[in-house]
Amino acid sequence: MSIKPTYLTLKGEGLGLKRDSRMVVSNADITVSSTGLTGLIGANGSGKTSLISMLAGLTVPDYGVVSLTDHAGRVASRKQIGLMMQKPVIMRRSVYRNCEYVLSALNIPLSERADRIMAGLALMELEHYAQQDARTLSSGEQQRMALARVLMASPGVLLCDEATSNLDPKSTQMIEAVIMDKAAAGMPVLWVTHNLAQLRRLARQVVFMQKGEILANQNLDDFFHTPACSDVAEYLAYERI
Amino acid sequence: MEILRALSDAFGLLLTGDQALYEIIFLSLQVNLSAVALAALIGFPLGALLATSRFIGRGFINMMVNTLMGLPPVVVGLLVYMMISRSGPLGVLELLYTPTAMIIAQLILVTPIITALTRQSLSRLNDDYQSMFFMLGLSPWRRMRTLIYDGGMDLVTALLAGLGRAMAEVGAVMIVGGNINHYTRVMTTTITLETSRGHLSTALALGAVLLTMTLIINALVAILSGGR
Ligand SMILES: Nc1ncnc2c1ncn2[C@@H]1O[C@H](COP(=O)(O)OP(=O)(O)OP(=O)(O)O)[C@@H](O)[C@H]1O
Ligand SMILES: [Mg+2]
Repeated sequence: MSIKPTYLTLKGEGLGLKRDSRMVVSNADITVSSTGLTGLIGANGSGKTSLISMLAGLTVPDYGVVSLTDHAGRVASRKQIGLMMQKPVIMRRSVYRNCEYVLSALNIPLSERADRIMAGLALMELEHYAQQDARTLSSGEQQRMALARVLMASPGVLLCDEATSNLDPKSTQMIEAVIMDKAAAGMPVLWVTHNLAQLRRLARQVVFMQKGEILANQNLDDFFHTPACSDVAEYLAYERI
Repeated sequence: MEILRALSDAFGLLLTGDQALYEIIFLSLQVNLSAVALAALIGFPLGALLATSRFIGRGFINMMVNTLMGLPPVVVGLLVYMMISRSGPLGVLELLYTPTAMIIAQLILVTPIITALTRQSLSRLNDDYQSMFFMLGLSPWRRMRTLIYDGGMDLVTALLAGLGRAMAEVGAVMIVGGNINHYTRVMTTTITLETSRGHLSTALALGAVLLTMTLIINALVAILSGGR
């Protein structure tokens, strides 16, 4: 865990995605950088997962470009993106081996792996599950494992799609603490959530999507107090219900 | 009455360890296990490749696999016969009516099954793993190894299904093996011959052995795939 982290800037410009002759994302500009956590919110089907998937490179955009660069503007490898999807990949292996697979694929030296894995699992209070078949974990435990696994690779940028959707309040708080630490240390984070209270706790910047379009991209205070458009105000009105 | 006599004779043969009988059982196992092992050597990587990679000729190979899977064994027997008979392109190897010829025919019959089952289960697994493979930038070779490793149980099931087909096979091994006593006579071909001669006890004894083996293979398949 001693390597000096190098944080990257992930940028999408004019991103558009067409599915079944419908634009599920259109003309989206977004930057994820070391300036604190960026929250991404919007109703179901508004295009959040599609946008993340394009930023990660998993989906090829129909319009626009994605770039991943270091502080000097040099192009960086996609392997440095930490992606936690809405439905994480759970390998048919033990929790420990799930983590080890990722570290070995990223060429983390063998001598470092065990320490990293145990520290990462401990961070998510999963150290006692190391030998359990990952498929038999509860969905909340799987989510914690996925987050532990992505963090122990020390990514240069982190994309999380509803990382706490299955978690109890205590686990949620535990993960929020970890993520806040990382963001404060400069890790660029894009964080999708439906939980507005969580957004208030974590985000520095908020991106709001509706029907595939980014309608607002504001800092946290402005977003809640002087929303960029009436759609945001309408969306926020539900918080009181 | 005659059937009861045949049955008790059959068990007599099995229990006294009749040499000719056990020779046949042993050859069956030798031919079929060799064929299945070789088929796995081809079918596992080929199935994994078909499940994970897009390449030129993939559609053609898929079609061949599906076609060969549905081909009647006697046709495969005939084709192999034509290849290895004295006037065939491989005639100089003098393989006709040898155990090797039977292994070749079984190999052609079993490989498509193992390939297709491997392709099926690994492409499901590949769908699950694909995003991770992509993000980690893994080579096709590394992906394949991971899938074969993590899909291990499915692959054993494919192997046993292949063995099941090989054990049940008559037509092809009859044509290319010639059913020669003490040399190329296996369980299924012996049953065919002895039944037509009216020697029901030998046929029944082998039938019982075959039934037991098939039962064991299928029980293993059920146990292994039940865990999913
Ligand atoms: N492959 C596809 N084919 C057709 N439509 C698609 C496809 N992928 C996504 N969509 C559509 O795109 C829209 C956006 O989907 P997306 O998963 O990005 O939404 P989301 O904002 O992540 O929603 P949620 O909050 O429910 O996770 C949806 O209406 C969905 O039906
Ligand atoms: Mg989503």
